[in-house]
Amino acid sequence: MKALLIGALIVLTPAAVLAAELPKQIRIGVASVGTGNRPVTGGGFLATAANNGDLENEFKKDGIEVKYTYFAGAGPAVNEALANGQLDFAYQGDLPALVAKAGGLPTKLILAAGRFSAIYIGVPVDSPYHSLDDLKGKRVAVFKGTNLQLAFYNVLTSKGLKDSDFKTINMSTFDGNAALLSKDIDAQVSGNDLVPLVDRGVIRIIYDTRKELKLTRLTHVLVTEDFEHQYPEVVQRLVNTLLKTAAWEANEANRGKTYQIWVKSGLGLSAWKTDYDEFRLRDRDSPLFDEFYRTHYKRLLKAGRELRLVRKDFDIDRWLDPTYLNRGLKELHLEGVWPEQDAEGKPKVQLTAKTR
Amino acid sequence: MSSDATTGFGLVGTLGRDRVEGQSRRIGARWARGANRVWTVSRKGLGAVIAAAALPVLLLALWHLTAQRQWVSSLILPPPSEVWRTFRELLSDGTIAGNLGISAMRVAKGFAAGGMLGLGLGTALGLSASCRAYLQPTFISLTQVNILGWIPLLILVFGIDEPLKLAAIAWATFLPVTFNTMQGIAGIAPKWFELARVYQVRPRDVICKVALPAALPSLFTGIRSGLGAAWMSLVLVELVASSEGIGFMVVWGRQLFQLDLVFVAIIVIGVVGLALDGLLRAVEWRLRRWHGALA
Repeated sequence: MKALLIGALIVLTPAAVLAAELPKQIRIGVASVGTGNRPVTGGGFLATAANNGDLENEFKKDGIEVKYTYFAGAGPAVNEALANGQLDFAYQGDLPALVAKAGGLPTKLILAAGRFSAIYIGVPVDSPYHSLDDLKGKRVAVFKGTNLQLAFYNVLTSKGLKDSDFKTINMSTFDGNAALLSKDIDAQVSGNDLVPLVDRGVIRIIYDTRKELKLTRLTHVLVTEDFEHQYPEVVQRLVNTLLKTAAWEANEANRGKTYQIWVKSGLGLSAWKTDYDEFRLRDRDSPLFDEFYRTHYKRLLKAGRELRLVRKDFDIDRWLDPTYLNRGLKELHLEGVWPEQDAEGKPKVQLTAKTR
Repeated sequence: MSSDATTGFGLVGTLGRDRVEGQSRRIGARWARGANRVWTVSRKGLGAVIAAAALPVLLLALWHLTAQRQWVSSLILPPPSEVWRTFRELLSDGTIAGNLGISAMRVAKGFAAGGMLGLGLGTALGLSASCRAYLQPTFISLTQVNILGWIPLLILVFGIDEPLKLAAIAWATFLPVTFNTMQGIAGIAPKWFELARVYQVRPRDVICKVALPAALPSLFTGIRSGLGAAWMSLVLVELVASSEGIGFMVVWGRQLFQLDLVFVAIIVIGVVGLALDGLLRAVEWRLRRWHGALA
C-alpha cells in the first residue's frame, strides 16, 4: 500500500508540476493582414481557426490567453518580432522562415499550413503588355523578403529570365495594388489580392502559377525552440486543435462555409474561388510534411541560396519536425484524411484510394 | 530596434548631454570655440582625431559588449565583426560602389536643380524688398513642413519613379540654399549697392560682381547645408519606393532580416555624409580666407 502511494506520488508529481507551468499567453504572429490592414486574414486552416476562435476555446479553461498579432510587414516583420522574443508561434511563408533560420533564429516547423499557393502577375487592363517577356525592362513591384519574391524568382528561372531583366520595385501588397491602379508600376507580382481588381475591370492577370505546382509558395506554423522546450504539452494541444480545424476544412462539404469565413479578411468570394477552386482543399491545405512539402522546401532553400537571400545551408529534414503532427494525427484518428503527395505534388496512389 | 539597444545608446547620449549641460554656458562656449579651433586650425594635431573618434569608439565598445553578452539577439544587433565582414564582402563584390553610384547620381541631379532654383530665388528675395514682401511669408511657411510630409503629395505629382527622388532631393536642397542666399544678399551693406548705382553698373553686373561675391560665405553655407539636406533626404526617398541605392540597402537588409546589411548601409551613409561635409567645409574655409583678404 505504502509502495503504491509512493509510486502514485512519483507518477503524479511531475504531472502536477508541469500542469502548474502553463504560459499565461500564447502569442501567435500572422504574416498577413486583411484589406485595409484589418487584423483578419483568410486562406488556410489557421485563418479558419483564428476566425472561429478555436485556439481561444481550447485554452480558455486554463486561463491561457491566445493573442494573434497580424503584421502588415508580412514575414520579415514576423521575423523581427520572433527575434525580439515577442512571439511563440508564427504563421508565415517560406522565404522569411528560411532567411531567419539560416540567420540563426531558433525555430522549428510543426505543421504545414498551405501549399500550391499561386502567384499572379497583374497589369493595368489597358496595358500593352501581355506576357512576362513584354515586361522586360519595365517596373514590376514585388513584396521583397516574402515568399512572393522567391516564387517570382523561380518563375523567372523557369522561363530563362533574370531578376535584372526587370526594374523590380519593393512594395507591400496593398501599396502595390494602389500603385498598379495609379499606373505608377507596369505590373505587380502578388497573390489572390489581385483578383478583386480583376473583378473591378481595372487590371488583368497575364500570368499565374496555379497549374505549375513547383512554382508555388508554402506556408507553415512554426514554434520557437524556447517555447517548445518549456511547454511541449501546450504545443501538442495547439497542434491537435489546429488539426481538428484542418480536418473540418478538408471535408469538401465545408468548402462554401470555409470561403465564407475567409471573406471576413476583406477579400471577396471570387478571390478565394480563384485561388482554391482548382484544388481539393485537403490537398491545398494539407498539414503533412510529406514528400512534396519537404522536397519543395529544399527546392526553395536552393533557390534562396542562389539568390543570395538565404545565407547558410541547413538541414530541412531536421527543421521540419513532425513529432507533434504525427502524435496529433494518431490521437485524433485523422491518419488518412490528407493523402500524401509525391515530389511533383500529385497524390500518391495508395492513399487516394483510401480517401475517396 | 530593440529597447535594450535604445537604452544602451540613450545612456551614452544622456551622459554626453549632462556633461555639456552641467557646465556653465561660458565654459561651454569656450569649449565649443576650442573644439572649433581644433577642428579647423590644428588639423595637423592628433588631438582632433582623438576627440572626434572618442564617441564612435565608445559606441563601438558598447556595441561589441552588447553583442558579446547577448543582451540583444545577434539577429537584431549583429556583432561588429560580422558587420565588418559584410562590409568587406559588399565592397569587394561591388554592391556598395554600385548602390553608392546610383545614389550619388540622384543627389547630384537633385542637388543641382534645387541649388540653382535656390540661388535664383534667394538672390531675388535678397535684392528686392517687394519680392520679400510677396514671397517670404509663403516661403517660411513652406519650410516648416519636413520633406517627409511632402512625400505623399510629391508621389501624386511625380509618381514613384526617378522624378520623385529628384524632386524630393531638389526640394530638400532648395530650402536652405534659398534661405541662406537671401540672408547673405540682404545682409550686404547698402553702400555697396549705392556705389554701384552711382557708377551706373548694369543690373546683371550688380548681381554678378557685387551681390554674389559679397554674399559668398553665406551662399556657401547654404550650399553646404543644402548638400547635407540632399544627402539626408536621399535616404528617405530611397526608403519609399526604390530598388537600388544606398538608402534602399537599409530597407533591403531589413526585409531580408540581415541587419548587418542595415548597419553597413547606415555607416556608409554616415561616413559619406561626413566626407561631403568635410570637403565643403575645407572649400568654405579657403573661400572665407580669400574673402577676408579681399575685404
